[in-house]
Amino acid sequence: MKNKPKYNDDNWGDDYSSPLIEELSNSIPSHEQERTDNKMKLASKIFKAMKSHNITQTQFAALMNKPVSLISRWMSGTHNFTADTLFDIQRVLGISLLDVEMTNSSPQINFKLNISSTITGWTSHELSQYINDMGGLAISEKTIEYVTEN
Amino acid sequence: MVEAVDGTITTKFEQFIEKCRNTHEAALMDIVRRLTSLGNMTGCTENFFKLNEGLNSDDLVCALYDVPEVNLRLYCIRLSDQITILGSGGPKTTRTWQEDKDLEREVHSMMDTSAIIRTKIRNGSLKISEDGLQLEGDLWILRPSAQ
Repeated sequence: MKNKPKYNDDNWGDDYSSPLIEELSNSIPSHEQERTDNKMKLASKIFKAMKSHNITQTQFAALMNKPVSLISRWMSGTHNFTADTLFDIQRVLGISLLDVEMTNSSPQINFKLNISSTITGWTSHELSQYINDMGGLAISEKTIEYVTEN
Repeated sequence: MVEAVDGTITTKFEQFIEKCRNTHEAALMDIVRRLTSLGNMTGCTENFFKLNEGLNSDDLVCALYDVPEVNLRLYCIRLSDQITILGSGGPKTTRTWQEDKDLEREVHSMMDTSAIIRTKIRNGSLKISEDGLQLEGDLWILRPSAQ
């Protein structure tokens, strides 16, 4: 809350900020805000897809075989969708809401490992065996510094 | 913004927070999170609001969807996909807002405010900025006498 304004000031209020709202906003954990953001973006994406297909909520409800009130709830940003529902919406509206393709989503780790060690007293055969053993560990690249004693 | 009895200045939305923060904290925080998303990401497109909550179809009074089973109602005036004026509200325990004196007062307050704003937009004393993000001009709804 702020002190009483100057009533003759037409610009009064332009710079209004609320410590109370800031306090509440700052108390929201980032992961909770992110979750809400994603639900809102999901709802927005469905709404825009429906608009771009030029269909009403009633028509969309008929295509989904659901009541109109549920469609409104879906697009409100408050709904927790099941995967089945999202897959059905994707199919009906021809949009992508869940990316389940393995080609893009499977984890792939690329790494480069350099091993530097000083080896003394090994014969060429022993060294070759050692390198082969390291290759057996699926190391993509190896750097071996060695000193052989003649 | 409104002037409280003690002379301090607050907003309808702050009054809503003060009214509900102790009794409906979870639902209130959900509203704050969604408003943050609306402001930062999605814009205030119509799908996020229950439209036509006022008595007239053109008064633009709507309500942010409430969380099912909680029904904490926040009334707003949705001027465009970019501009929404937040009002107050409260828990909705009756079938219609007309059956709840507190909600009835808040909806009528929003309808009155909406009528003034729309009149000002029509007569040119208020306008939406070129980028569509601000309401510009004479924002005084009721100008108190100079003191």
